[in-house]
Amino acid sequence: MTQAERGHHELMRRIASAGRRWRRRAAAHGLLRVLTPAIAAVVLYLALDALFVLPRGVRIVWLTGTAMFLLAGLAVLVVRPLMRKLDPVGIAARIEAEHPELGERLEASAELWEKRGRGKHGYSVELIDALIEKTVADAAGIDFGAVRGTARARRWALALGIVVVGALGLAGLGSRLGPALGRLARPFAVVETQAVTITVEPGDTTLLSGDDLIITATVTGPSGDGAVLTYEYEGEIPRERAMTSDVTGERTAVPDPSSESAHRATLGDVRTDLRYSVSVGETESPTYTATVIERPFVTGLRLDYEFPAYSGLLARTVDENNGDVTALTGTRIGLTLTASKPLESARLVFESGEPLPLEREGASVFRGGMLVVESATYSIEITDTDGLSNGDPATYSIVAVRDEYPLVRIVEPGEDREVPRDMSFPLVISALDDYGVSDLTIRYSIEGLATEGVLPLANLGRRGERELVKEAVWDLSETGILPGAVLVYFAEVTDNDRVSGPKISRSESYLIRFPSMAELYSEVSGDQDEMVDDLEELVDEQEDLREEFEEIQEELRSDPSVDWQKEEEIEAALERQEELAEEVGEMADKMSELTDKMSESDRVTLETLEKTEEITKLLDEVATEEMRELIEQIREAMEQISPEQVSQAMEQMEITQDDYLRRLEQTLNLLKRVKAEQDLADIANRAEDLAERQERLAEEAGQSPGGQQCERMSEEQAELSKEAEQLREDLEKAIEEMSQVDRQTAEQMQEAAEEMDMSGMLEKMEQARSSFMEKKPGEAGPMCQSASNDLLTLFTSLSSCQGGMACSLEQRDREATLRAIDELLGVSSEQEKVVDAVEDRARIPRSEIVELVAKETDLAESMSAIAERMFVVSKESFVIDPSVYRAFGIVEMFMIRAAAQIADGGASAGRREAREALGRVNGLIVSLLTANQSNSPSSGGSSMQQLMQQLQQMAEQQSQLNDSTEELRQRLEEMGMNPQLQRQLAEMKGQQQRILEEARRLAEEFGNRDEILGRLDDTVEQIENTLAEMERTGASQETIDRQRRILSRLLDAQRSLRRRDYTRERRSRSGDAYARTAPRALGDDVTRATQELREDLLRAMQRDYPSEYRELIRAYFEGLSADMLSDEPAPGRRGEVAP
Amino acid sequence: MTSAFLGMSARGKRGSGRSRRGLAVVLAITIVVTTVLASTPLAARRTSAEIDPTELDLNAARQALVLGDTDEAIRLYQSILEREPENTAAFWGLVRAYSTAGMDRELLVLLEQRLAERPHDRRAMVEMGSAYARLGEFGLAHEIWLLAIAEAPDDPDSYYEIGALELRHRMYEDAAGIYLKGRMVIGHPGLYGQELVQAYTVLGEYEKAVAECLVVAEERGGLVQWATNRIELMLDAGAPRRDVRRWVDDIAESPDASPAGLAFAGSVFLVLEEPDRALEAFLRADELTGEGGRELVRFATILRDGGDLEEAREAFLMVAERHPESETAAAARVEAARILPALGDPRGAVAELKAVANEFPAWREGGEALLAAARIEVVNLRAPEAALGTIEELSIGTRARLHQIRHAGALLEIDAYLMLGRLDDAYARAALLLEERTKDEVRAQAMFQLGYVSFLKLDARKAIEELRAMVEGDPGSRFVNEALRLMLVIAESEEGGEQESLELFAAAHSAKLSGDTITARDRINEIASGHAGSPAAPEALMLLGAMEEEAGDPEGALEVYARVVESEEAIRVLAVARMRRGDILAEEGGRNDDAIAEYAAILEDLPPNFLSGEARRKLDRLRRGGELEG
Repeated sequence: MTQAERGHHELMRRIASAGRRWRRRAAAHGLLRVLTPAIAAVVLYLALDALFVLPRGVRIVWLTGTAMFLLAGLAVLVVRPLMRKLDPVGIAARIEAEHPELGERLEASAELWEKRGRGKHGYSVELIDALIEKTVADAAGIDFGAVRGTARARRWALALGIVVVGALGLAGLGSRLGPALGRLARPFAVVETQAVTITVEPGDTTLLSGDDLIITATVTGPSGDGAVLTYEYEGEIPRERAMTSDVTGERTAVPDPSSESAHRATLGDVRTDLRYSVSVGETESPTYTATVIERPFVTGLRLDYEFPAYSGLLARTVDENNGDVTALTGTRIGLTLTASKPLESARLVFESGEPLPLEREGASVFRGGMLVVESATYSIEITDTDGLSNGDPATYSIVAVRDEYPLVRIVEPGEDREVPRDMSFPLVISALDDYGVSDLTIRYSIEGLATEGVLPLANLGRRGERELVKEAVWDLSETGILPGAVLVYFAEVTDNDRVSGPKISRSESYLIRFPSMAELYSEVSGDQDEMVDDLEELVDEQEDLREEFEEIQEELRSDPSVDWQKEEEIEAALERQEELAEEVGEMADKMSELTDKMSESDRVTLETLEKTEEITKLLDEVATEEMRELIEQIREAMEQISPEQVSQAMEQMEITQDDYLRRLEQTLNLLKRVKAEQDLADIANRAEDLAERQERLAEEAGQSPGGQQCERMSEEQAELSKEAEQLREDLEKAIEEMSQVDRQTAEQMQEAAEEMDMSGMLEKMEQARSSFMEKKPGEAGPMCQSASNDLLTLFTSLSSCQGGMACSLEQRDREATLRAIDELLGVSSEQEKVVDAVEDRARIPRSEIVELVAKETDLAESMSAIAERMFVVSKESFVIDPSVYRAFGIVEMFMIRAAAQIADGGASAGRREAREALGRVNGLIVSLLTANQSNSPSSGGSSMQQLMQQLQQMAEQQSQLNDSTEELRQRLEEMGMNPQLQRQLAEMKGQQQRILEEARRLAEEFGNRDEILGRLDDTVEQIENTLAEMERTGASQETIDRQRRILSRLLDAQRSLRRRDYTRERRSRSGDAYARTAPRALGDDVTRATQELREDLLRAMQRDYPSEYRELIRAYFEGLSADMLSDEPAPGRRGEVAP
Repeated sequence: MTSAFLGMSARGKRGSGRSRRGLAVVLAITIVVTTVLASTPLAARRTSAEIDPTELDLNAARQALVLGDTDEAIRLYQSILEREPENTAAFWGLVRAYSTAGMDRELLVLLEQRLAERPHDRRAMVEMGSAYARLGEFGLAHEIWLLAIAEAPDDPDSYYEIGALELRHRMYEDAAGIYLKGRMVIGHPGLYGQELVQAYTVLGEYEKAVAECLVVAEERGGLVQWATNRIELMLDAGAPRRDVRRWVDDIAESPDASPAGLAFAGSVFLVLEEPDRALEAFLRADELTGEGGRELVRFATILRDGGDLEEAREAFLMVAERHPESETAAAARVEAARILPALGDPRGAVAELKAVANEFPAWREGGEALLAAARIEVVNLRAPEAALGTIEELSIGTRARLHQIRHAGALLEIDAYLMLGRLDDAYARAALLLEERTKDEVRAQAMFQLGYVSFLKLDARKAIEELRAMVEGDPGSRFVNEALRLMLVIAESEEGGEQESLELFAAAHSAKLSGDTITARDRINEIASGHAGSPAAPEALMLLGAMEEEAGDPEGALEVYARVVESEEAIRVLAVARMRRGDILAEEGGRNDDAIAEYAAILEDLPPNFLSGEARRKLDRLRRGGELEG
């Protein structure tokens, strides 16, 4: 076999194979084309039949047509292609159509093989073979069976897929699919139909407005549809609603033709008439009517409030159709209701208790009343003429607003206090109530006594004020409090509540302590003693330390090198100096505390306080920053191993220490002086106090007291005697102390003490006590009076000691300063000479140098002497600032340096130092001049100072006049009246008249000053009375007594000036010493805050808030108050919050 | 810190994971380090410093030492050293306690132990030397100290310290040796010169002392005066004048002499009262420096300041002669003329000065000459009109640009107006001067003049304000004392309602200024008789006393001061009045007893005061039969 033959054979085999494949493919394609429409027709049929139940004729035609199409299609499109004979040439042509790269060679090969060697015209064998070989070669690798164009087949496949999906979609027909399939299986069967009946409940009906209308429909017979309710409210368009199954509650589906089904629909809140019917498919029930009827209800509600008369509130009407009531307990409420229709009856039904029938006012109007007693709820029940009631009536609240407890607070003093000197205790009480305060009192008791006292402050009756601020001055002498005792008091307020009864509240309790003078004296005096001792120790230590420094400095002068040993020595001394400075600082703090303590006492003079503050300031200034800096400088110099710097710093240190020591000494002396002055002032005060009390006792004795009173007076007299004895002892001590600081004043005090002894005052007091004991007040009275006069005399003497002391001190200070200035001017003048001698001199002869050095040394020494002289005086003075002494020291230092420089290196070396010394000494003079000028009497001084001086002068004049009167009285007793004594009396009257005029002038000029308010007027009155007495009785004992009172008044006015204008803010007293344990203790802050809240509440309640807010306001404040109380962790020391 | 920390955290959250990890590491390290540090003994010691028993004992020991309780201090230091043998503070504390208590033997034992343990402890050596010195073992002390120096041979302070210690223990020779050794080792020939002068002077080795003085003078030119002063001290201490002269001659004649050395030699010749030799020395110095007569001017100035006025004038004129046409010559001629009023020829002085001014119209010296002339016209010649003319010349030409001269001229102008009674002109000129920028001294003087004029015009309040401003402005300037006294008089007169006496006092001043001494006396006498207790009285009388003295009436002055003594109480016035009386009486001659009485009264009748020392010295001199000087 040739290659061509083999090629041909191969080609034929491949073409045949391709033909077979094509035949199968065509059959398959045909099957698709037949089956797809056939299945689609069946699916469509089923769908239509399931939905509409196709008539039998239609079913038969449809199914028959479908079957015919299927058979014909299969024959044509499936069987025929399979049966078709294969033509190689035709197949080759098709293959070439699929594979154009073959050209026509395949077809030619199939066709020409047959003609190979047969034609005469030459189908060349070689050519054909060559064609075949070429074709074989070209066709190698080509799949003849492959078909490129398969788009149609895919489209048909897609169509079949859609149809299948559609068939599956038949499942969506649900139950309808089964009968349809049944009908498909029996296409020739005939389907039969039944009649549908609907029964509707309730049919025509009547219902209450607002009720629901429930409609049920019972459906029998076959029906393809659910039940539908059609209804139409009056005047509205008809509406439909699918009914639900009465059993499952689901919407009704196609009913089982053989069964009966129930359907339901509910129309809610039907308020108007309506018509309705039910339909199932084509079947519809008859139309029914539902008629609506209404219940009675309250259309209008009016409340008339009539408040309790005491509240002062005006009646009011609330016509807001709201039955809620908020009213003060005791308020009467009138209620008027109007119903929506004529009523049969109406009543108020309370949450608890009997219903309250209302009275008819009209067909639909009823009225009633109720009293607000307590909070409650109620509703209104009404019944109409049809017997219909108002179903579920609204519930209203009654809020009974209670009358709050009143609130009272002691605003002033608002703390524990001591009894004032004049026993007048100013009070400011604030009371507050929501509807009015009727009574305000102070209740008090003296500790240790069972009785309670009442001090009425206000009685305002029924229509009291809602807010009351009462100022009063409580005369404590009426309480019978005695020195050393404690009085407890509080304010009590009663409100005007006439409904539930007056309510009472109380303020916090406070204490008033009446310390004995001796107690106060010993307290402050003890502290002062301690300070003096401490300060003395400090001064001693500082002196030792200064000596230590001097030694070191001396060593440094001879050998300026600072070896380790010296360094240690210096360091130790520096440390000690630092410690001392700290101690001084601590002492300054103590002093400050003492000043505070003193300032809290009403018995310390302004001058004393000022001086004590000055001492504190001095102590503060003692610990100078300069000292600290110097210490640091010395340390630094030692660290840098700079002997020169150490030496210089040590030199400065010496001056600073001198200054330091001087300050300490001055402070010590001043403290001693202040203490002595304070002691003197204190004893004078105590004498005056005792005199007053003794005089009161004398007055009481003159009023023929009963036995029991005599007993009390005897006790009081005993107490006075005890205090007088103590006074005498303390006076002795004070004289001793004063002798250390002011001998002259001490002598005057001694004279006063001797006078007191000579007067036999203590004996008189003892006699008076005995007389009281024996119930002979008539005998005791003159003794008391006489003792009082003696005490007054003592007071007068001691007061003039005080005044004299202050004046002499000021004068002494001033003179000392002026003396120092004068001497310094001399120094300055000589120093100028030194400066002139050394300036611009190329050479100074040896003799002159010696002279200059000597002069400079002299001047340095004289600086020291001047300073010392001034210090002797000023160390007891507040005028000269101790820093001045530092300036002295610096001048001295420069002078010594100048001397040393001149001695060592001639004039040129000391020039700078000499000039510096000159500048410094002149500067010192200026500062002293300035200080002196500001303290000079002519530098202005305050008007108060002038007044003080004038009062002092008047007191002296009065004192002399008093002595003259006494002398005249004695002479009158001895000699009787004669012309000479008459002249003397006239002169004395003239003197008294002049004093009166001066007093009037002062009263006019200064009388309105706070510090002296009233005192000058009193003095004027006293002098006027005395003059009248002189006219009447001449120089009688009565006149003498009156004159003593004038003197006392004048001195008192002076003291007031010294004391009262002390504006330093007083710290509140702790009162711990007198604290009592209170059962219901609250922290002060909480108590105060709670009170403030209550005040706010009461005020808020007084305002015209709408009633519904009032309770909210109350709740708000009460909530706040509760929070505050619950936040307070610890109880306070005292306090009672009412109620 | 917390917020910063939080801020870091927040940033860390925003940052990358790496930065968060880094932050965490840093924080961890910080926490660990802090924890470790907090738990270290150092921190523990810091926090418990107050209760450290050693510290407490140390403090207690120091305090005991300060309070003089050396036994307690020693006990405490010893107890610390028993517990902590290495405690340095306690050791040196114990050393100090021993030396304070004078327990030098114990101290030596302690220091020996120390040196046995630490053979190079320089401090211990210094202490040991001091202990030996206190015990009188000076040889041992010196040896030990030498050892101490050997520990720091290159440190100049080391020689200084040991030298000072030896001087302190009166080991002068050793000290001098130490200083010389130090000088040699350090290699600075001028080192320790002043200390060596001190040592040699005490040792009586004056030649060496003089040589060291020369070293000091040559080393620091400013110390020529100091060195000369030392020579005077040596002479006072007994140095032989002849020897000193010889040594100084050697210096002056030395061919190597420096100008400073020659100036020193010249100064010493003046001390030795050999002005010719001095002149020679200064002339040679002048030649050596080549500064156109400056050294000669110095010579003349020394003569003038020493009170040798005629010689000084000659020296000044010599400068002019040797260096004609030079500035130095002009200045020297001015100085030479200035001396003339003191020699009784003020007019000659003015003529010479004006000649200089005409010769050098454009030079500063010309201005100085006019100024000096005007001053002489005001002060010595009391010719205010002439002075005003001279001052006017100052404002001509280039001189007007010399502010200092112009300002000084203005002050003289004010003085001249005051003398002429032209108070308003004086006030206006002073006010005008204050508007310019002047030297402090000129300013102070002008301010004083303002206040003074106001006082003369009886405007007390203004006067006080102006004087106060002057005093507060520069309390070290001239006239402050006068201003203060015037202020005090005015203020006290005002306060005491003594206006009349104040007016009289002002009138007296005005009269004195204008040269009307009769009126001035009358006014003062009016005050003294009619207003005896017034604040102006003592000042007025003192003024009168000064006037009498100026007028050359010692008896009158004595009488016035006697009135002061009788009528016044103030220490200053009494002391000054008695001093003046004493001085006048002593100068009078033959009335020394009266003078002694016056000086004695200052000492006996008055408390110690600023003239007590002077009175005592004068009293001593008079009692010894000497005369008053200075």
